[in-house]
Amino acid sequence: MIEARGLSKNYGTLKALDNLSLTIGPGEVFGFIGPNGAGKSTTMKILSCLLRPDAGRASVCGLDVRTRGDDVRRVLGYMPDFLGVYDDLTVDEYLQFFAAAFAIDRRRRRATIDGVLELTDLVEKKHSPVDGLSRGMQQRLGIARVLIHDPKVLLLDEPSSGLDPRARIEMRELLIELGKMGKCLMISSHILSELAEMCTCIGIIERGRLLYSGSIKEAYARVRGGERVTVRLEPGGAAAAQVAEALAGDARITRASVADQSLTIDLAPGNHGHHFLFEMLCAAGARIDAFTPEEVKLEEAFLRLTTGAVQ
Amino acid sequence: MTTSGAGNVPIQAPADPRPRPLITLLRRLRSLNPVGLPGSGPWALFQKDVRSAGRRRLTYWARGLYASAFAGLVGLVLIAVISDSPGQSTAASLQQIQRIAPILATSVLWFQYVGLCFAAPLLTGPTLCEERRSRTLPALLTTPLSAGQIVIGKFMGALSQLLVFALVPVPALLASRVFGGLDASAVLAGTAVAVGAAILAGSWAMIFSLNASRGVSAAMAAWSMMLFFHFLVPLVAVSPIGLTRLGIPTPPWLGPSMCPPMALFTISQQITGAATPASITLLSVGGSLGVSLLLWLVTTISLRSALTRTGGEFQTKAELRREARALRRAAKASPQPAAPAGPQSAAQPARTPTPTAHRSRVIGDHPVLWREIRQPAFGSRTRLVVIAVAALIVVGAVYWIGGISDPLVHQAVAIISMLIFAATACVSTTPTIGGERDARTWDVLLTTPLSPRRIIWGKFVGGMARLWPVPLVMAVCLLVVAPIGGMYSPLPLTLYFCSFPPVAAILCATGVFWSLVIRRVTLASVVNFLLAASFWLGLPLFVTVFFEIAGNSDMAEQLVGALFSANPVALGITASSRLGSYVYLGGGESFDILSMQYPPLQFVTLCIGVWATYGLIAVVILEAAARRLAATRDKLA
Repeated sequence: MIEARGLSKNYGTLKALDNLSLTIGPGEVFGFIGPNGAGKSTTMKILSCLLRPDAGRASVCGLDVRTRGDDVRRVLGYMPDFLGVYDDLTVDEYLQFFAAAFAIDRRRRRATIDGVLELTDLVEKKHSPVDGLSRGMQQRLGIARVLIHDPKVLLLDEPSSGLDPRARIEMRELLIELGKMGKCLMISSHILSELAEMCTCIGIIERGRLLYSGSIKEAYARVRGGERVTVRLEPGGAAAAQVAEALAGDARITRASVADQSLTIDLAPGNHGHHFLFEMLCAAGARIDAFTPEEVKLEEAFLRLTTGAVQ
Repeated sequence: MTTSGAGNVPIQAPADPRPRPLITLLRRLRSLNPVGLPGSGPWALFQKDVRSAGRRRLTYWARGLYASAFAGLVGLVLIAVISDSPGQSTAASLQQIQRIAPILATSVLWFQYVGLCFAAPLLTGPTLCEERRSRTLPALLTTPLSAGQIVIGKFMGALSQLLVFALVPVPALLASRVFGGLDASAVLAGTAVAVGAAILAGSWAMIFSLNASRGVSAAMAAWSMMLFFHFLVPLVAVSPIGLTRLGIPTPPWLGPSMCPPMALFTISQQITGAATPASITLLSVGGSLGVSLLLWLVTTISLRSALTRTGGEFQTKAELRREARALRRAAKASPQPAAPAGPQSAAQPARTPTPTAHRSRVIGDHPVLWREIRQPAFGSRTRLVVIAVAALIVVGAVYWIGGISDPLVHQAVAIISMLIFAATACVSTTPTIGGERDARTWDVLLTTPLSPRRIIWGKFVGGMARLWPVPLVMAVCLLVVAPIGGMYSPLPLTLYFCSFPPVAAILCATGVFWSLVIRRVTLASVVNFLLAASFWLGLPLFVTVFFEIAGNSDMAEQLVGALFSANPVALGITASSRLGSYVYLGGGESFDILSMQYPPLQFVTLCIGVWATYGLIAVVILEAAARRLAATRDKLA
């Protein structure tokens, strides 16, 4: 769906993109993460034919963004980080405007607009002036606009920025729904917990360079190496040090450290499951009070993979 | 002097080996730089504005252009002098310079007057509305700055830029004083009048900046007020076709105090030898500064009231009204509160929206054009009513004083209307693309498959459509009032009204082009205006001055006549000169452009040729704009 090879873009002396390559397949929800000024918006603008790259190639649905801009626009919907609206139009007129701009047949226009209004839950605001909408509603309207021509690919730049918690949750649900509809989504956001919930893969960019692109699980694995489990032991069973000794020989366990009555066990990379660990702990005579697999968060992966450098 | 951290050993500053008086002097001079002084109150704002202006490339371009225009004027005079008397002796050259000095000084003073009055509103117009747009006023309010200090600080910042413009002609004026033996007091008086008028123009722009959405709107409103008070009021109050015609005496101070051009005209006569009372200068400068003070006061009070009304989030009354209206509409469009959840409500069918006061319109297949032609010409209905009433009063007063049966009165109204039309056409399309960029809708529009040509032509036609008010007023004046007064000449009337579209076409086309190329709306508007003024007014003026100084008046008249013959504004004005005459296609009085006389048929042919040419140029410019837009959208890649 989206393919970029060696994209580079300079703004004067500032290198906004540096040999960026990525691939996003159909039906994927791609979270684009990076510090401010990392090059996320520039990438999205190149993909939506608003900017010409200095070097490299990019294509959307197999259409080159340089040479087939018109066709790319028909299969792609781009929502910028700040949604500008024509303040003299109503919601319905605003959508009609873009339906006409996308040359949607007049006979189908009404049904299409009603459909996207329903999907974005804006039916009740149909005749409201767009400048009277709340920020959350305006963001929904932005989504409605990008859906008006039923694009296969959606580029959403900070769709949740500036929204209150309720609007943010609603927006997340809407994006998940779009993902389920089979759209290819590229979402840039700073709210990493949200991305972790709805994205199938992520890309981490810093200073114009793509540091990582792949699934979230792979990102965690790259950061941590393997999973970490904390086990608290009840008194009366085997001592923590003894249990640690018993675990030490297994190849699936890289390290087992002891602190008071607790064990911190680092597993080797790979998908091992937890049942073997239970069996080994029980065999070593441990009485398990609590068994807590430690969650690696996307924030941690992001912090570990980026250096914090800002352009 | 500092002490080091380790061991608290005092570090002695190295003694200066030898006194350096030049560096000391420079340091002392540097300490006098107002930007470097410790800032508090309005001074802090002044420093901020001066610094930020100093970092803008545009500031230096504007100064450079002003200086170049001025150098061009001086160069023109000098070239004319040299070419007039080649190979003459030094004494003769000096005599020649003495002869030319009054002309040079007068030209410089008038140039300074026009230039400063044009620049001042552009500098002060954006001050308050830009602070409002960038939402920095609330931050200012958290400081101990008062509204008055904000106004003074912003005005001083803009004034410092104006000072640079005012200083540009000083070397030429000094040279003409030294080598030409001019009266210094007259030169100083002329400069004072010009600067005073510029301060007044800037003050007008400042007060309009409070409610304007853009700096250029405030500047335009200020220019309109300057035109009104500097020309129209003295015209009514002092001129022979004014109140004196009705036998009402006018006080002698009224003219100079309300009309700086009148004062400058008198001072120009002093430079060329006539005696002028000093009170003229005092009246003019005093009048300008007095009104300016009043305007600052009103600006301060308005700003304070607006800020306290909206808790720092400064919104104009119009914005507040619009917001309230939007909220009302939104409330009407929203359904009633939902019924309590329960088995009954769950079984109810989906709720339909309640009827709304505001129904959505149906948009056609040309969305950009659809929206553009629905853009209001005056921003709001209130503004439309105010302007309509003002126009009615002004035109009514002119007809009441001048009489509706006097062809000269109709001609004056037609000429002024044509000039106002051209000026509004200059700024009709310049905000279209810049405005979309500011509202962040431009990028969104570019991601649609709308072709650049459709976008550009939509903007162009919309801009043309917004220019209806002046032709409408003129239709009432010339098709209703003039026939009542016994004047009805179909051919000149047709030619006059047909002159509007070509003027609008070329200026709207260039406006769209500049709006695409230049990001700042104000700059695009100024460039469009200056370009039109340069070609249609500046070039004929240049030719006139050059050949007049060279002593070849006939050539000047012929060339200027030819230039005006290719000018649609001049053709419209010429057509209006025959509004009360007996003219028909096969004969009657000729249409005169200076020394050039065109029989009616020839004039009609000329008009059609010029209109067609301008139409063609407009199409070429629009196509160039479309190609440029296409290039930015990678269409040409």
